[in-house]
Amino acid sequence: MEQARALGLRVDDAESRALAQMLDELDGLFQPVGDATRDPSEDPFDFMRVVRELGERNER
Amino acid sequence: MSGEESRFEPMRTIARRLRAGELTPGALVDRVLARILQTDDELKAYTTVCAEEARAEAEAAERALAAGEEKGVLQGIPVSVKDLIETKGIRTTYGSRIFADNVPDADATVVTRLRDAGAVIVGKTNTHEFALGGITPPTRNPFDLDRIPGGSSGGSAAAIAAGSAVVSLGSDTGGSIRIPASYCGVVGLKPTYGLVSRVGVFPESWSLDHVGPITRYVEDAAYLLGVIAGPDPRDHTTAGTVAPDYVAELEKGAAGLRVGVPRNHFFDDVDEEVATAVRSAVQVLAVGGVEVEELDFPKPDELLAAHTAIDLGEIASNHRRLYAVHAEKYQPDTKMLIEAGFFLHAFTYVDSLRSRPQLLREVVGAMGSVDALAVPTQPIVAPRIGETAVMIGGQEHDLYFAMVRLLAVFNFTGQPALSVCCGFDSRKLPIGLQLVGRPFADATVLRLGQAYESATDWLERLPG
Repeated sequence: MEQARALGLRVDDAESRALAQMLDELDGLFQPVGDATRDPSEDPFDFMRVVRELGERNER
Repeated sequence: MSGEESRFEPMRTIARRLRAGELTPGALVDRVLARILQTDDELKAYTTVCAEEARAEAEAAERALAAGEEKGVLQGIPVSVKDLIETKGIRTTYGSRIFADNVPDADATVVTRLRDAGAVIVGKTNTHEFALGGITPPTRNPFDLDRIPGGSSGGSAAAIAAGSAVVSLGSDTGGSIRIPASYCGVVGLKPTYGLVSRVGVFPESWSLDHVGPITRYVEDAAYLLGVIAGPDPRDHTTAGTVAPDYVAELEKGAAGLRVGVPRNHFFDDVDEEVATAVRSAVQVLAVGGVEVEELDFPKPDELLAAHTAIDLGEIASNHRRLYAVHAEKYQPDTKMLIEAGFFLHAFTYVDSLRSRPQLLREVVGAMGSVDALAVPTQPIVAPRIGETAVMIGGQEHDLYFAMVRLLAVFNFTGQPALSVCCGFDSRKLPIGLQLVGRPFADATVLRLGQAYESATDWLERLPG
């Protein structure tokens, strides 16, 4: 938080802190990074490749 | 807001009349400007009206049509543009006091494409500040002026419902096209991620932002999408994108398509009248030859959590420098979102992004053989101005989370999602049906939406 203040950011809002706390709780909610996304054969950030791959199969 | 003057014909009909000499682009623009004058003191859908420029563009369109220069259905059609989208020489505020006098020196790619198609930019429609919310103050809902239009593209949807625009452009990061479409009883399409360029659109979250049409008719959305879709070398997500002829695709109809209705999440914590209207809409589709089946939607809470983390992280990144200088000029609800992002753990953001391809595969896999999902767009009808919580089934829910929980999952997956009006509640407020397709199957959701629109007469119900 001190680092954020040093950058000139406003971090004194109680509601923001409450939302941040909620985000901490969200960390525990989802388990997104399974073994599959640690597979170095696939770039886990290349979302568009997957969108296009799945998009190629959709016409009826 | 009442009266027949709020009803425009479909663009195809207007285009035919323009070419038959029954109507001129100038007369059409004058009709829109007159309607803005008539309604916008109360409605406040517009932040900027560019009457002079619009009349000049209409004259140019008239000359071009007279000379036989054919540019397609949008030629000479008045279009409004969300004030988050940059327009050369026309004030673009992003809904912020910081940019109250900002006049861009270039058009957003989507605006360039509208202009190339001969459309006439008639004005800029109000957005929630930097698109960071679903309220869009001070715009009001044409169906009840004491209620919000939704947002963040609230001005666009209100203008379409009130007849002060023929078609409009909006943007959607967590529901910002579909929320106001639902509350205002109009059509809103969030296209597939990567189909439409975001260049020149103030970013909320580059991983989740989409630009799309808000219209009265599904066919108009198909026309508009056909104009704005396609590759833009300045937006990497659009690389290699091929946009089919969406209007031609509509002719295939919807019979034989398969629709899935999720058993979980999408009908939980939904107002009873809304749920009944959406289930009735699915029955209408079934009568028209659409096959319907139930399915389980995977990991909605995880999808929403990951969406939230990406959205907040990228909002903070986009705004932190501006915020450091101009914090006092931001609205309290916007401040809260920005500052929440300052607290986000780096690993939460990274894990959320890494989860995205995998979760998209799971969602598409769960769709099995269905072509689209049919779910409510919103769990409620338009709330009253000033409400921050809503009652659903006797329980109080935070308004912001109620607004995004059925929508943001599809910003995360990038799937195309269309909202069409599927009825009205007992207070005569519109209800939205959301149709969600597979990636790049935008034509499929348009076909379903068109089939539903054709089978019902909700369009006959005008504000007032």
